Amino acid sequence: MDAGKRVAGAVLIVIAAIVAVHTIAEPWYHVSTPEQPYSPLWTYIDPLSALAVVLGVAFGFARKRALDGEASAAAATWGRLAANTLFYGFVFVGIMFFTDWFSLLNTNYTALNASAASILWTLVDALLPLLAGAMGAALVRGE
Amino acid sequence: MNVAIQIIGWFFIVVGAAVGITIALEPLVYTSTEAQPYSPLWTYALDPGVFICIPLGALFTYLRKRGLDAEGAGGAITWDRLSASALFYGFLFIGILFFWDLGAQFNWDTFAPGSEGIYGAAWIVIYALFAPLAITLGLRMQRAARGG
Repeated sequence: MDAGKRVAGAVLIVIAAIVAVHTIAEPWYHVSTPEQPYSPLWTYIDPLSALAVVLGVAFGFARKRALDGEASAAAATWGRLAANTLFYGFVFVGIMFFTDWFSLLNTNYTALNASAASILWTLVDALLPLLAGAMGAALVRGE
Repeated sequence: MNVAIQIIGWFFIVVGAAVGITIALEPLVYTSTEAQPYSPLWTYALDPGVFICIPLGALFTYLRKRGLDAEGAGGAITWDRLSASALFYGFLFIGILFFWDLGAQFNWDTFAPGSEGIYGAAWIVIYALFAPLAITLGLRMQRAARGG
């Protein structure tokens, strides 16, 4: 189980690095066209982000549940605060990610306009590396 | 009293789960038309649910926060107090965004035309925050009603 957690942690750290580096690098190398405003590399990165969200929610929930056994009237511990922040962070980013990703995949869905989708992608791509990196590091440490 | 708290708690859980699931999956399964770009569920069920939950959530979490704040500023940071404040300020934040976005939607032509991208993104941020806040508050109310 510990080996599985460490592998998942390493995967999360790698995905965090890929998303962060590509988010920053893309405006410097990609020349947008009306058909392809964003880099086609996202086609490969988005499934990795989906994997990071699923792993993050699953491990985040397990970690939160284990620490939620502490008495609520007791002083808040750093571990419990971090576990809750990561779990709810992944839920928040996950909902935005899947809304944005599915609306990109389904061209029959037009309620989310291009500039709204763009704002959401920026939020997701800036938050996901922080959450995945922090969760990955905790899992690698065996927490 | 406990039964009322349990029922209201369930209401929060159901609305929160429905909003979270619908906002994430709707783009995959719904086919937009010009007249109805998003699912009619939002107009007839989900948005009215959110409309009711936000002020109720802000009120309940305020009462809980006020009770715990009686410990004073010199007390330890307990989990109860931390979570009560996070829920209260979370509901306030999405409340301001929700009612701002609602006003903008009803005054599309006269209020900051051309900012549709911001309005659209704000809806998703509101719903993505509302779902975990409402479910957490609902679960907390269930536990409180059971004396936990």
